[in-house]
Amino acid sequence: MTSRDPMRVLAFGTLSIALAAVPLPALAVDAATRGAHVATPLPVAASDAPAQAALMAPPRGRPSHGGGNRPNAGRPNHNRPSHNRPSHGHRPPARGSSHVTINHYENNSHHGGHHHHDHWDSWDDHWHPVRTAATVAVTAAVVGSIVRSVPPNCSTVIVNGISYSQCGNTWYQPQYAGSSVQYVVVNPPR
Amino acid sequence: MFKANLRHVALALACLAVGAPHMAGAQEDADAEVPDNPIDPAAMAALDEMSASLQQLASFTVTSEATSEIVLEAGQKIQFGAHVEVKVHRPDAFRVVSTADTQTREMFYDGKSFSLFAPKLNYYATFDAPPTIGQTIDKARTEFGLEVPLADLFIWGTDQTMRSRILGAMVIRPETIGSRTCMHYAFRQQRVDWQVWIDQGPRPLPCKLVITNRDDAAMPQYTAVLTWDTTTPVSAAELAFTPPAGATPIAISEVPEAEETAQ
Repeated sequence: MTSRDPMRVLAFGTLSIALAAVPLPALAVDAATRGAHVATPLPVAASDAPAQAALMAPPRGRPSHGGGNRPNAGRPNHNRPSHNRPSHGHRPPARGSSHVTINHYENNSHHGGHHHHDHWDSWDDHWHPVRTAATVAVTAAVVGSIVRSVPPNCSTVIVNGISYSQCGNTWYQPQYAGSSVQYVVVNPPR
Repeated sequence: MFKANLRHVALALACLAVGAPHMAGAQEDADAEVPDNPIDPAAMAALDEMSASLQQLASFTVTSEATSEIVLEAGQKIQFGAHVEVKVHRPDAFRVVSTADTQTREMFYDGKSFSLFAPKLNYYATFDAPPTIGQTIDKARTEFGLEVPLADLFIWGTDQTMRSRILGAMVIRPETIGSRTCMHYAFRQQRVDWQVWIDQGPRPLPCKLVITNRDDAAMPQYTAVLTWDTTTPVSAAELAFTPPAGATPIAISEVPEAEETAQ
């Protein structure tokens, strides 16, 4: 980590400036567009219009001095979400990707399946934009539907040896699909 | 010369019979000394040598700076970087750690089971594994849709069907990668082009690997520059997976039958 520290300090500085310049509604837009990551459609009223707006908004956290360290702008050293995900919630859909082995291309392994764009659809690992909770809380999740992330206020609960993520009245069962983790909405186990 | 003259006579006669436009091509074919073989035997021999060299290593560590690409609907490519570390103890243990801003995963094999761990999420999944590294990688791929990064390093030398899938093989030229001089080779298969740079030092190990996806018109690539440690021993014990405190087991879904058998 030590080698990264200078970059982080730099990123933190530029992010503070950027945050100050961004009107608050832009953050709310991020939260709303989280619905776009749902694999199986949930009844979330996320329209694409605000997502486009988010795309066209001036990039936040870009170093004005050409440092080129933009990805680190998502790692401020205060109590906002501190993972590296850029703060725009919307990504255009991916149609394909490279694969990490030659052997992948053997005929029997080609199925254009759901897990092929791991690094795009589910880039990792519990980053949550501000105010996601409010968006998700009004949603009644359909049992059996699959999402790629859960709200930040969920807690891990183990019932009969099985891990669940409990988010208010909604229970998710995490599972791997390929190397991605996805969450299946299940009936409350108790 | 006499032969050449005869050929020209034959050519002239043929021109009269068929018409000139076709003949330019025919003459080129006739003048070619050797018919073009899309598979250069020297490239295949180099591949065999590299495979043998990989098989000889009882244990090794290879680290890699890798890039992968996503293709957006409109064909635009987005590239991501990752750091990959592969540790192997033959015949039946490995640990592969892929660290990236987008996704970090650790994969473990101990001769009996395979474990997949997501350190940030603190979730892991385990399935029963076959007795060899090659079979285990195959099971991960075909049954669980799970690609082990750089798995080709394990497969080369044990998977005899690999050679038969190569439709084209070229020797490019020696090139400098870091402090190494590595011979550059290019291969073509039905759905994938790939290139490997092989160290020209005492051990013919791969210096670099590029895998080009030809299924997509944008041809996204995976690139990995490899750094080898063949001297530090790797014990099976240090590759074992022990779930950290707070890690919870979850399921890993199998690839649906329909998908598995689809072309």
